[in-house]
Amino acid sequence: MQRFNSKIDTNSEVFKTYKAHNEALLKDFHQKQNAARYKRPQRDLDRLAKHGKQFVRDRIEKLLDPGTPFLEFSSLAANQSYKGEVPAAGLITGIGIVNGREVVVSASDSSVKGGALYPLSVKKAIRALEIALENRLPVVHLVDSAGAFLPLQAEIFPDKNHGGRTFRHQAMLSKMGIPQVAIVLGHCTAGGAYVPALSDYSVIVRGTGGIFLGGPPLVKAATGEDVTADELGGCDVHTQISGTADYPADTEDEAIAKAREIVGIFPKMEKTTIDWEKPEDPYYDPKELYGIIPDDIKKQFDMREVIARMVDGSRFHEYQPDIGTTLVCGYARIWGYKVGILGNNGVLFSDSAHKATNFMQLCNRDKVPLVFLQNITGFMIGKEYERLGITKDGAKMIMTQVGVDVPKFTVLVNGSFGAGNYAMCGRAYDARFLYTWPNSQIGVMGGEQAAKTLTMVKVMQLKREGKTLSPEEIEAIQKPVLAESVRQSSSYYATSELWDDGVIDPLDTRNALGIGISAALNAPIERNPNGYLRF
Amino acid sequence: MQRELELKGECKTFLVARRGRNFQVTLGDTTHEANLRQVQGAEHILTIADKPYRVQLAAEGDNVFVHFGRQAHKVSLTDPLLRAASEAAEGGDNSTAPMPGTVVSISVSAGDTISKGATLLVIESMKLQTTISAWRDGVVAEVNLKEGDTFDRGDFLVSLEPEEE
Repeated sequence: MQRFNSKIDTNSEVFKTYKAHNEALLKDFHQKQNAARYKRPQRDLDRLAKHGKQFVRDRIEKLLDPGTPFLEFSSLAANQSYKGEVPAAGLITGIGIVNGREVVVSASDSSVKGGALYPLSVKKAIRALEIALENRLPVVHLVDSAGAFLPLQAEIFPDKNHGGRTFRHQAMLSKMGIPQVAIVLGHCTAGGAYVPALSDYSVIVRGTGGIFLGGPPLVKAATGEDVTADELGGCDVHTQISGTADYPADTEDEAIAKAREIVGIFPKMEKTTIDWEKPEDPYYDPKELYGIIPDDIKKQFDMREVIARMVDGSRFHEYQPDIGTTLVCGYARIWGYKVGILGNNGVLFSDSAHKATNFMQLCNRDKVPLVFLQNITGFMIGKEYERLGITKDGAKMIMTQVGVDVPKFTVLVNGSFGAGNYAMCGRAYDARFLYTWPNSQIGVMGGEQAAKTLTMVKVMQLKREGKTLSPEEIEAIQKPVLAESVRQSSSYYATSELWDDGVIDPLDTRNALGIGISAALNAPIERNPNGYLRF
Repeated sequence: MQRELELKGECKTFLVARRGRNFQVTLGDTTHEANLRQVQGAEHILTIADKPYRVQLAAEGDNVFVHFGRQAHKVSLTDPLLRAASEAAEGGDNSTAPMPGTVVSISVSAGDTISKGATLLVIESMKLQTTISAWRDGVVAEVNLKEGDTFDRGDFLVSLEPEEE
């Protein structure tokens, strides 16, 4: 495959300006991420120590094979909710290697509100199990949770994608033969009690671990019975009498070691094979990405320059280079795996949508996973374009994109607006993994446009009531609308609401995609392609 | 397999074919049987037509440095497709609008001498600003618009003076 010939001048003023801008963004991102990972009020850390419990990060480190990567999901979940008091939504999820096996880890963080589940924690837990289901990955649960955060129970308990869904997914995993092990490191009360019970294997720590449907206070209130937590549902009760848990452990370290051993005896599954060659580092330095992504979302850049800093040897075979040029399509390799990349180089026209449709059909037929790099303001609008059938051509693109059997991966590189987000495999389209860069923005339209539209609607409304507004009054209406609209289109809001699997540093994109592709190959690719229909 | 190498500024085309344990290398009308064996680290034994030579090899990207007979030679692997593309003619005197939009800024005026890649103007369409850059060296003949103007797809934006043959 031919190496891409970069036109970036790393000594240019533009490059330096962009680089400074993006480095500042990234510094802020890493600070936020670091705080979410490690910064906790002292009293919470003291309470953990008093109970003889380890911090969740230390537990995960002991669980994973030394020196192997951990692809953490949504490390900034809930960063804009609950007054910012529930970092990472109180639940750490990700893909790691345990005893040589790729597994999904889902670990409650009891240093945050005792590991209580907030609405976004439930959303995050469901997503982790969905990843396990879609990619057929075994799951290791580290359970240490106070249960649902009661004041918000209406957003946690009853609906389809609320708490019940986690148990449904656990049961589905079991039915599909995807093994799970739970390590009970604290109390799992009520709903939480089902996590170990629905796992194929469970380990419980003597003294601190406990499983019960109703905790001692509830038992006292309901039946008047006086009982200690250990008598009610401690390690010995469940491993010797009830059989709710399988293996006792005297310490957390022992429990984690046992879980590692159990993962080792999980049945080994064959991975799907796809076109693979020995990987090669990108020829162009990925650090140059900082100087390529502009300092203003309106400014255009060449997505090929981004691709060149992400793929093996910076080699890229471009498909149909001279038509529909606002969308770049082509083949490349990531970690040796052949992928088909679709990247936006402007607004989508009919011919770009046709190109995408053609390319996705070929990739699907030839078992080539798809990578979408989004920088999209939408489909072109206007009289000429409607007559050319822009809407039906967009529909073809969506139809084909949804219909492919190969795994899809999406990165929101810069802008993600309107139907462009949909056609380019946004969150609703079951990308196996979807990541956001800190600079990117998302919304049905741009923040400014949304604010202007809303203000215009308000002004028209008042006009009908016979009121006219001074420019100052209009400004007063627009300002808060704009601020809210800008906040809601930011990557931090998006990731707070779990519209992605995490904000990542552009430099980590290649590895995140590589781990994702490798994980996705645990599931078979059911192939059912049609002959190639050229549009 | 046909390969292109650059040696001392000259581009040479080789044909390389596997033949048993050896390689058959054809350059022009001559064909040699060759073999390369690593001794240790950079040290290799290169055998051409049954004659062994001791060489030191170091690779950096597409460049291979060969130390042989008290001299270092730089050999670069070149891509024939890339070379063909860069030699292709770069055409036209006019830049046309890729889509309808408005002019954000204009950086040149008629008579300016510009070099390839220089910013001519910035247009905005569908919330996206696109920089129109010079597609070749030349002199600006005409700028057809001013800042704030709107245009349709296919309209001329900037023209360059025709190239002298």
